[in-house]
Amino acid sequence: MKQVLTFFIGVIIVLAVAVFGVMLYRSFYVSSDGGEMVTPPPDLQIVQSSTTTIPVRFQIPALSIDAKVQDVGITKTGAMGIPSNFTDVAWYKYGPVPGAIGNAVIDGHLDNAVSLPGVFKHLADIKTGDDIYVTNAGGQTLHFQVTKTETLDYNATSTSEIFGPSGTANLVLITCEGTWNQSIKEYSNRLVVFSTLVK
Amino acid sequence: MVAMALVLGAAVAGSASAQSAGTTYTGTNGTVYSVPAGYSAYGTGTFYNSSTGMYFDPVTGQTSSTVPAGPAAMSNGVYSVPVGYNASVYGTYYNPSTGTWYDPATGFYSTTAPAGPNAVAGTVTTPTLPDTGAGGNADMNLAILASAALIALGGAAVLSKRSTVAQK
Repeated sequence: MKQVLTFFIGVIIVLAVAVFGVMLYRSFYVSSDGGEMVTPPPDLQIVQSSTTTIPVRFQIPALSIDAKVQDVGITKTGAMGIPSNFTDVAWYKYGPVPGAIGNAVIDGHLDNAVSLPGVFKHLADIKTGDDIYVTNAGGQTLHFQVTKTETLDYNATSTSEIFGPSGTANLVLITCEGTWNQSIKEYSNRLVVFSTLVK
Repeated sequence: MVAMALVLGAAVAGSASAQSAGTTYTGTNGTVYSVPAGYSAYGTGTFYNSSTGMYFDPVTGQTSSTVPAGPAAMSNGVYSVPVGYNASVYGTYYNPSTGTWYDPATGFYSTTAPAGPNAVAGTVTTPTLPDTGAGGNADMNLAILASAALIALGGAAVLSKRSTVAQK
């Protein structure tokens, strides 16, 4: 009887440790909703940039942000992918590289699953004219300045201003804001920061 | 990179029968592009307007007075790009010193910035906004973490105590 009880307690301990480990992992590492598409939709005909123009470092001195840059595509639900952790930012790899003509898009997390601050926790504090720096793999640092910010609904369907073509070299930042919607387990809005390359 | 380049090449090659002035052009991947009135199929997926002398590439949305040279040579399935050109958008490459874009799939040089695929509405995939927050369930997640830790520690304490008692 004592051995059975000991075994039972052991099983509970193992389960508790497993739950703790999983929760802790999920608090710091995330995956895009439904996972990313392995291959992009066929109409995304954008030739990928050379390795030297891919962004690797992202900085906003005014907000003390200095982050590594991951690259992401599109999730199976059709959304832009997200960084796999809460400290990096992610560049949309089917769009232009930062510094090229068009809208390069970078997103980052607001917070993690235990409400610790993500890389873009204070992005709402950014102001028009603030500086953004992106360094590519070739070592070139590009300077952008904020032109405006906008708040969009989480399910906004018109995203052409963000992902669509542009005649100038822009950088667009996206993160969550608003209130938590428990039914969809998402924040109600997205903060979008528009910036343009400084010549 | 290789796959993307091939996709691009295939799309630009398109269907000759679908190329007609002022209507549409269907790429081999099924994407339908609109072609402005006055342009006739020229080749390699480009169109020519004889009254203006301009060429039009519906995949990049560019116009040019330079005759398209056709697809650039490929090496291991990847287009060759002239020296001085850096990757830009919509499959084009940009030379900042000359201010020209180059499309390796058509051999198209242009001083016009790529405006994007001149696709018929709804045929080009644009992602929706990303989900970049997870903190809304923080209270519940912290409670689960704390409960799991307490159960594990409590269980370990019970086992330790039982072990000590058994040894005595």
